[in-house]
Amino acid sequence: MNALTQLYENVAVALTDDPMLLLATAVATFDPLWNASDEDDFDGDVEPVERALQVTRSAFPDIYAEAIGQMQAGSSESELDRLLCQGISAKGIPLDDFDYIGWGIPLLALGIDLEDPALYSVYTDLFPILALFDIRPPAGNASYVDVPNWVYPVGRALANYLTHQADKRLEQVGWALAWLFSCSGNTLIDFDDNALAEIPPLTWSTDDVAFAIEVIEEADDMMRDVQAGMERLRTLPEWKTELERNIGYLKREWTKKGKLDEHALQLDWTGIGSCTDGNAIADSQFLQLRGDAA
Amino acid sequence: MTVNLTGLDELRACLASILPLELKGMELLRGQPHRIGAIAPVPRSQVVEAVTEIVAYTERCGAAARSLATLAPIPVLTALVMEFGV
Repeated sequence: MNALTQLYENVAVALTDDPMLLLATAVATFDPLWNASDEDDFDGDVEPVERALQVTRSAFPDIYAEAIGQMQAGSSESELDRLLCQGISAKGIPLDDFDYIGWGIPLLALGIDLEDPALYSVYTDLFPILALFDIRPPAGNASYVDVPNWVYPVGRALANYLTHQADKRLEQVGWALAWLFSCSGNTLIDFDDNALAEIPPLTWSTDDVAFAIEVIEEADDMMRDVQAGMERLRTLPEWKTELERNIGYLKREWTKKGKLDEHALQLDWTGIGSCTDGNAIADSQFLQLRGDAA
Repeated sequence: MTVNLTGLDELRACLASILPLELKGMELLRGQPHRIGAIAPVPRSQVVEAVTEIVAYTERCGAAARSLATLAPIPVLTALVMEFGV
């Protein structure tokens, strides 16, 4: 042991001999971010991984403890990144990287804007359904898509009616329409990226984290129903026929009265046949049906 | 626990009677002083336990400091401050 390492050893021993220094050293060693600034002070200058550690320290202390343990064990930065991302994702907030973590809880907007021309290059499979509402893909370099006045009131009335039906098949089609016309009641389903960027992000406070997890879980559940409902409309002609007929009826009502009395709506969907057990067709069965159709 | 303190001596005695803090992290460091600033082979579970305990401790300290910083002023009615003529 040379003089330098001996000196280091002496300092280390001295730090553990004095109770006050030992406590300070323990805090610095095992909670290096004990004095980190509050998230309200975040100005973008903090390294993403450090910000992620700050976030986990306040929102998910168990992940923070794991991360510090991993740092103490000499893990690489990429391993630490993976631990933090996977840990936060496992809590119910999907996270691929820390790029925006400092600005609040990153949320993924799942909604669409029917007037946005960009939508129609992504969701080409929606064309047959949108055609039932007289909505056509934009031609050339159109800056917006013309959505007739009656479409939103009729689409939302249909969505509201169907999502309250006991037949899960109808309910799933209702959620598909609720997504299409941004009226599900869930922000992530109803807002597209632009709309979501307009509202203040949720903070990493306990209450906001719990709320975000609830919203994300609900949106995931809804999107499963949206996909099942869309598949049903796309692949089963009798469903499309019934939807078209009901759209026509509601469109006439709206044109005649200028509004729709949603509470008094009674729509006929008998053309789809009955569901013997009254329950949903399980997604896996339905996907199998798609496979058969293909 | 409610303690009625009537004087400085009692406050001093009260603080002096508090047992020294012993945290898991302190125990780990005491057992392996070379751990300070270096990598040491300690089971991850022990480190996680130490971190969890110290985070809770620093949070308690922070809360106490915030409470002290916002204590309401206490009027000292009987003190004589001759410099100000009262």
